[in-house]
Amino acid sequence: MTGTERELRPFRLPSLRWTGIFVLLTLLSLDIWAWDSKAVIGGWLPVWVFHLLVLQFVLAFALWRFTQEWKP
Amino acid sequence: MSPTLIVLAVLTLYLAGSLWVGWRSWRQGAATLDDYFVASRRISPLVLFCTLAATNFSAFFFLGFAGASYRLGWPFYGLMAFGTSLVGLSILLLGVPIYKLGKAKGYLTPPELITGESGSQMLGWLYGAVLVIFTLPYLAVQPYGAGLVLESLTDGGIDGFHGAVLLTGVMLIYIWLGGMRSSVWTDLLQGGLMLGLMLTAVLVVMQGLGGFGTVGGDLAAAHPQKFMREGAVTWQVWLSYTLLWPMVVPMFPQLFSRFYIAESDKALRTAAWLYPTIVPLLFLAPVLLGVSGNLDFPELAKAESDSIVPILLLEHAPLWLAALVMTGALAAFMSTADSQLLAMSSILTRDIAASITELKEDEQYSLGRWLVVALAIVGLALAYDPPDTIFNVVSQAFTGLAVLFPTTVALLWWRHTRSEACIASILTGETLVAWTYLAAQGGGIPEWFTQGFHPSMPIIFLSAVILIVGSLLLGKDSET
Repeated sequence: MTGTERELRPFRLPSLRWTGIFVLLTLLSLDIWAWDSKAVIGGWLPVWVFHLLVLQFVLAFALWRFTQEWKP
Repeated sequence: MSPTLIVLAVLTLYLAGSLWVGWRSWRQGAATLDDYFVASRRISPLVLFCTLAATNFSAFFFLGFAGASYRLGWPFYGLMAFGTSLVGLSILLLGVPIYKLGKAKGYLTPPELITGESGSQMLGWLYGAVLVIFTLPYLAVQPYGAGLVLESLTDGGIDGFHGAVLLTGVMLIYIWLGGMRSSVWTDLLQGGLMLGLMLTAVLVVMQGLGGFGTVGGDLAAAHPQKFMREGAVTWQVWLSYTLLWPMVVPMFPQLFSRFYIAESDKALRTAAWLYPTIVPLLFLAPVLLGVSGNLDFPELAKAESDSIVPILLLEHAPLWLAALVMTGALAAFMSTADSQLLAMSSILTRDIAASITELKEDEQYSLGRWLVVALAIVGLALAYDPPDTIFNVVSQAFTGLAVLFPTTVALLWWRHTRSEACIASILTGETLVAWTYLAAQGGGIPEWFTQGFHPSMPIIFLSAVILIVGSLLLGKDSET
């Protein structure tokens, strides 16, 4: 086994900041404070679904940034 | 032209297209074990993303997803979407390490990596056994879904089981020829069809029902509960599914194996952020269809509601268009089933046959192709009379596979991991899966165990605790 192969594991995150960001986004997706929401947008899209849509695009952006930083 | 002939004409075109793409891919590849199982590790970023998505989104995405949305309403979007977007994080944090280890050490299957990194053949076999046992029922969902489509489209004219046999036969031809390379490139055709035709279905049905605003207004008046989470789902169940998808999806052997095929880690990085870019919009389509089905057909039984997409199309579109759109469901079936067959064949070839015999590489190549045929027959046999609706069949497999998540993460990310603790973790987890399944059939899973969460959550949690505590204790013993 070469030195490079031995050094592959364990993999490591660049910083705890990213863990915090992904946990925060997951908690925000719960949207528990508006659980009983009945509001809709455009007559057909529940507001809480719109909230989830936005969060997923934020997640996509966060992942894109993360890929720039984390290069094991 | 009779309805059956129209469906057959559309079907023939699609199957001929799949065979052509599969044949072309085979011609460009090499007849080697490495090319057959991991496409010589040369798949580019965009193609990798497409094959990951097409493989993940199965017949369940086209049929069961809309069926569940019909029953539960918009809350089903919440149960599926954010968690599936988080799969992008798994692609990055598991996929990149798996790719790097696979390339450095020549791994072709998931259990090979587990065996190689833990140094325990027993753990590798256990891991492989779990993958095969829980992928078989999942595999049965695919031909079952295809059968539902064909029966609905032809009003029973084409027997679903025989249609599934035909589709499986075509799939076998291109997988037999080109293995992973054919699977990946047919995924592009099938994924594109699935996406384009699902969006067409939404537009056609919405137009037929009077437009988005009218549908929403009518639904809000007749079925207001379909818009609300309260009463439909609890936050515990919601969180459970959000956490379950990023843990279980990379454990599907057909997804795990695809981490090996990337041409570089850039391919996986790209797929990671593309996943949550596409999923949010893509998942709106089957939910919209399912929820809207309540307007025309408010009293469907649970099993019938899994056919809500073909039912709606037959109501609101000409037959030729309905047949065309539902080809997307057939594409979804084939894009997942061919990958499952290949992944399981590779496990049985490499982790069982090659580990206990002296098979040369060309013999493994030949055995792998025959195993694809044998596994397809087993899958069809299971699909002949599936035990419950699509979602229930698949849900048993999900928890069983998710038990492997703590072991996979620990081996990649934690240097104190001990193989004995991994074995204990998996055995405990699978015992709990069996127990919760039996309890659900009887008086129900006790509340003290789930605390309101999906049963997979306490099972994965306990598996992780056993792995961590066991590794720390065994680590201490070895130091003294």
